[in-house]
Amino acid sequence: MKEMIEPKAKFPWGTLILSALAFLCAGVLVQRYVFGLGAMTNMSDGRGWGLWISFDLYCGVALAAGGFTLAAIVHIFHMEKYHPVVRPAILTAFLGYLLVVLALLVDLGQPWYIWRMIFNPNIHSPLYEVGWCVMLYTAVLALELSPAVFERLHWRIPLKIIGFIQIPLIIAGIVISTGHQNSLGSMLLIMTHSIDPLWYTPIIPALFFVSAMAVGPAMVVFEGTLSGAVFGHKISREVFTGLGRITSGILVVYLIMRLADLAVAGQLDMLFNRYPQNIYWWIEVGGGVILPIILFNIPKVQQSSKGMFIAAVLYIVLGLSLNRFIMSSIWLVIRPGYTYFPSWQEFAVSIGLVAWALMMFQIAVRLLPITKHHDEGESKSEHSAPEAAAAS
Amino acid sequence: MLAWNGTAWVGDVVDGGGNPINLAAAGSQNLPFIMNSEGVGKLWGYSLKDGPIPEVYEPWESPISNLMTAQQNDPAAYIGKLLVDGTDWNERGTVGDFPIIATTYRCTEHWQTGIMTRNLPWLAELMPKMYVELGADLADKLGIVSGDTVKVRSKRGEIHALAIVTKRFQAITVDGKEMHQVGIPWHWGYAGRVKGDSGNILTPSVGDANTCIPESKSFLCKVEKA
Amino acid sequence: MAYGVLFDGTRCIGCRACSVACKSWNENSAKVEKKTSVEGGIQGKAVVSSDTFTFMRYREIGEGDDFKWAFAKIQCMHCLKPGCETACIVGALHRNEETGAVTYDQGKCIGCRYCMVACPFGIPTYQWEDRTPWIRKCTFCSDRLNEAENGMAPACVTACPTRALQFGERDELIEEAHKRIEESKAADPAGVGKYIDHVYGEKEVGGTAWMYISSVDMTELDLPWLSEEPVTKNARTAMSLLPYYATGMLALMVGIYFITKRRQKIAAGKHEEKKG
Repeated sequence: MKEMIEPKAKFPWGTLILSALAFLCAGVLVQRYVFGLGAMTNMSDGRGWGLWISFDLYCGVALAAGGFTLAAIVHIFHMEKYHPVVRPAILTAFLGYLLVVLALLVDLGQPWYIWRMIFNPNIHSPLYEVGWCVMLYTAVLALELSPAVFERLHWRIPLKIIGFIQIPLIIAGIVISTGHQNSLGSMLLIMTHSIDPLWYTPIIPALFFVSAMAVGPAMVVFEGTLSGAVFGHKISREVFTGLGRITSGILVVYLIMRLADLAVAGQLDMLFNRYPQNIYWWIEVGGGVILPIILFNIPKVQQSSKGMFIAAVLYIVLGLSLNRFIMSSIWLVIRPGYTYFPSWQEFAVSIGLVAWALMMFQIAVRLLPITKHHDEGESKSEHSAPEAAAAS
Repeated sequence: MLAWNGTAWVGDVVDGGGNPINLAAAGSQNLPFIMNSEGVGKLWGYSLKDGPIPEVYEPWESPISNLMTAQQNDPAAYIGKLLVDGTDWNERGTVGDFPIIATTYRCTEHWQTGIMTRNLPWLAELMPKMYVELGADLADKLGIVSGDTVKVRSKRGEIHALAIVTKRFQAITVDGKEMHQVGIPWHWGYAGRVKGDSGNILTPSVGDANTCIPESKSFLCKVEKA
Repeated sequence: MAYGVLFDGTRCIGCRACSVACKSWNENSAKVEKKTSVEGGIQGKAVVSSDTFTFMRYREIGEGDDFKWAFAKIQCMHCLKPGCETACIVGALHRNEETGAVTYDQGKCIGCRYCMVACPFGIPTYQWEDRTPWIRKCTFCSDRLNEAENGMAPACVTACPTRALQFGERDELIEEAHKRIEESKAADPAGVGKYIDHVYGEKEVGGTAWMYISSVDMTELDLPWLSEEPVTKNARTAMSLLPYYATGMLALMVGIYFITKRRQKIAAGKHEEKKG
């Protein structure tokens, strides 16, 4: 089949390791459900949220932002040159959101009661908004991904139907997903005194929104480079450079917002005298925002895929993930004196879920037309479907 | 309770009936000191072992010599024997061997030797461990912090306890010498929901001349990290 | 009509009858910790937990003539604007407007633990060791408050031997607290009195049902310094702005879609012209 991609490696070392990690995760999950959370996590009353909330929920949702950012860039802003990377971004986002849901089913004390969220609304709770929107957006992502499935199965009619609703779906997806990027930030607004003042601000939702938008293109650079190395599928240098410029542009806005916010609160001096929190701030913003901005704008880096990859990783790991970790765990002090470091079982679950997602990604890319559309003609007809519908 | 209303004592009725002061009224037999056969108080009772005038005596184990009189201790004090297999354990320690003043006291959660209260779950939970409280200056000198297990020894024996450092004990200067004091509760024992060493292992078997009430509130000990 | 409790630190003797009464009324089990806490000296219990809804905190404050052995009773503060209530995704934590108690409904909880993180006092605890864990915290003896008119008060208040805990209408307790402070000042030749002139909980985070007056500042007893703004304010504002955000974003995306599509058409048209 044309869509099948030749695997590069002979012995499936990668698959072996990923499978082992996924199996380990499954074993740990048995311990979790049989013996309870206290038996296999280091969470405590003074540290009610742990690795799963910081990484799987906060980072997971933010890093899956590539889906809506790329969909917006290509289908709303009509920047056609990024078209080849839309589907991988949507697939990543879909798997990312599945991970979020799965991790929540592990982290929730009584996940078998999750349906209670539907029948007991608390509209004032930001987490209520997040819960509903994650559910809805995962469904939207599934629908946005369905054309790939329908193409593979050669189901013409469902393909046409999805074609009709594609743009409204994408717009709905953007509204819903940016909405809950905000609300993840709004969740932290209640912790007025528990989150360190270097990070607490009334504009947290706006900061989360902007940083999530910036990480979309960066994630595409990241996974594009990786899948290029694994599958041999290359993305054009032009696309990469463009994505880097978009990220860097948004990051400049983000940096200004962060600094202006501290200035308005009269807290700029904390950057120098609030020890040890300021060290974390400088690593996060200095290494994770300022440095990538510089790197993305150096021509030498723009020409080098390695350089772009590093710049993207710096922002993803330090600028975004570290930021989410700091605000949801490291410098969120519910009760003074409690320390927390995740147990190996918590790591096993998070890593195992990612391993499972990577394997799903591999399988999807092999079975579905993700990285290659059938041909340019087909892709054009996808876009002209709503126009044709509008014209008729 | 009795109160003076300006002309007479009024209020409670004393055991045996009758106004206790109003002796002239009855030639009455209802005298106030019902525990005495004469019915009246005694200044120097013939059944008492010691004299009527209060005197300052040092405890049987004291770090200093009596600064008030030449008589160090109460000469009529009851000195008991703690016989264990023929050996008398009730020996007097010296300040050279046991430089720290010890006192025993109580805590709210437990009562007496704790055999009832240490078996009540909520009380045992609040106060599970035998402890000894010492002042910050003494703790610094001995290199002890709160939470350490310490060994407290007296001439009678030794116990292990949880050290708790407190500001409520402070060094005092007596006769030009700096003295430290520690507080030892005595609510623990070898059986019960929570167990521990009893503070009374350390106390001397010395008592008041007349009542034998033991002198457990003042003796000498030595504290060290276990 | 909302109730409150006033804790007077100058009357408290640290006897912990309140602690034991609470355990008794709530039928909470005892749990002897493996390592006895030495925080606060002979305090023993140092935190609220799934079996301990309240405990006494002991602190030795000051030196020499200023030395005070101070106590504070720690439990859910039953805030007027509870962070846990706004946080709870299913509304399991709810403030009863009549009694002022913030109660927890097990029938709604899913175990997300957002309430634990949202509470500025770090009060809600979790049954980590359980396979079916629930959130646990002081209930303000809500079942006893139903009989408040007949003289029933929370178990801890009823047990207190020195009347350090006083139960009543919150407004009246605030008046009483300030009255005690003023009277103490008036009786003192130096005009200072034995109280710190602050009722902790009167205004903190929008006000709490449990309030404290004492001869030491409550922050010395490790009660957090909090501003008067309710913790819920920013979050509620953000949530109320959400519909506007969604509408605006929707309009923006639709607008940009049509604008850029038009530009694309024009560019394609020009291209066709050039070709043709």
